[in-house]
Amino acid sequence: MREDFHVMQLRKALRRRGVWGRRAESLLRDWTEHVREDIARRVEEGTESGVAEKAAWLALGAPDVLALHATHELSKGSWLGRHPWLAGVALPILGWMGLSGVLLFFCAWFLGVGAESPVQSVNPAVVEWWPRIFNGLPWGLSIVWLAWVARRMPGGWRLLGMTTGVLALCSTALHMSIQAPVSGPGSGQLMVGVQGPGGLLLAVLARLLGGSGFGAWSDSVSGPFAWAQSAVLLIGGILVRLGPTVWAWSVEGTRCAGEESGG
Amino acid sequence: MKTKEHLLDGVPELLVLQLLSRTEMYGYQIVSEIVRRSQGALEFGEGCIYPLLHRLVGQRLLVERQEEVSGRTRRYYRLSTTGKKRLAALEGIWTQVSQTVSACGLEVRHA
Repeated sequence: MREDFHVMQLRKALRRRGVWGRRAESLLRDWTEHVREDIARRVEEGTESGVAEKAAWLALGAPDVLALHATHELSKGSWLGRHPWLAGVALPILGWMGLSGVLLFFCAWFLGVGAESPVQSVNPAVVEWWPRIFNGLPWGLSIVWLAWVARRMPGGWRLLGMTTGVLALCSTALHMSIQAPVSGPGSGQLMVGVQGPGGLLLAVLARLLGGSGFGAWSDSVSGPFAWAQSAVLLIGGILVRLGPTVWAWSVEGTRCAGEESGG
Repeated sequence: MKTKEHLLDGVPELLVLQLLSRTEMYGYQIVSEIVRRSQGALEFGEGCIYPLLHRLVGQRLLVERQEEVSGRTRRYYRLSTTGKKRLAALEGIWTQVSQTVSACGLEVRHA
């Protein structure tokens, strides 16, 4: 009964620090075994079992201290934990940009939007579905990324929060639309824009985070990061002023409908 | 004290690796041995050693095996080849630091 109580306290402390699942259970098992060993030794030495149990749990350490050590060690042992900012913010952005770039390039080439297409006749269903895939795929990948982060959890809830925020903003901010190349390759239009609620939210959040949010996320943020915060604040402010369609890029085909029929 | 914490940051790892370089031990045994050898000078919360052990196993510096003893599950740890290399590196760093500290005129004073 008493053991259950202590284990529950330890589990809660670990969870508060973002350690749960297999890692937490493994630690709890080791701590419990340690206490049982300690109780057995104390009882052998002549201590009354109730007193021995109390002393053993006390010697193990306070739940918060143990949980702190656990997160510290787990962070040291994993690349994600050692570089939470890079893993939580920079990598998702870079990954997302890279993926979007590849998808856009492939789309423009394949559909013959602004370039010669390898296929002469594009299925209208492909044209219809491609933007949907592009607009939806980052969400799917975000979920996979978050599941991976959640499983590892070396950076705790802070890292998970950061990654969630970044990915949610990135994947909702970018939208693509395609005007089908009806007159053959090179006759369509492809437009990519940072717009809609995601883009606006990104701008507003950048404004807010530039003020104080980043500082609150990490104890180590100070000095040099103050410039980064100011930059985010400035960019956020500019984005907000520019309105919902913050930025757009389009590729237009070089042919028009008449050209195709005339040729 | 923060400085003290930073100064001692790598010490538990060095102690654990050194202890396990001689023989394999289970968690409770490691803790008891550190307490006995340091005569209470190094105050680690007993439970703090386990997250360290888990990290070292994760980094493949230690190898673990399980054994049932009197209804209790003991996890025995021993040094891996990588662990031996890591220990040699840490001992090198430790020697270098202590020599530097001595060269700066800081001597260990015995009571």
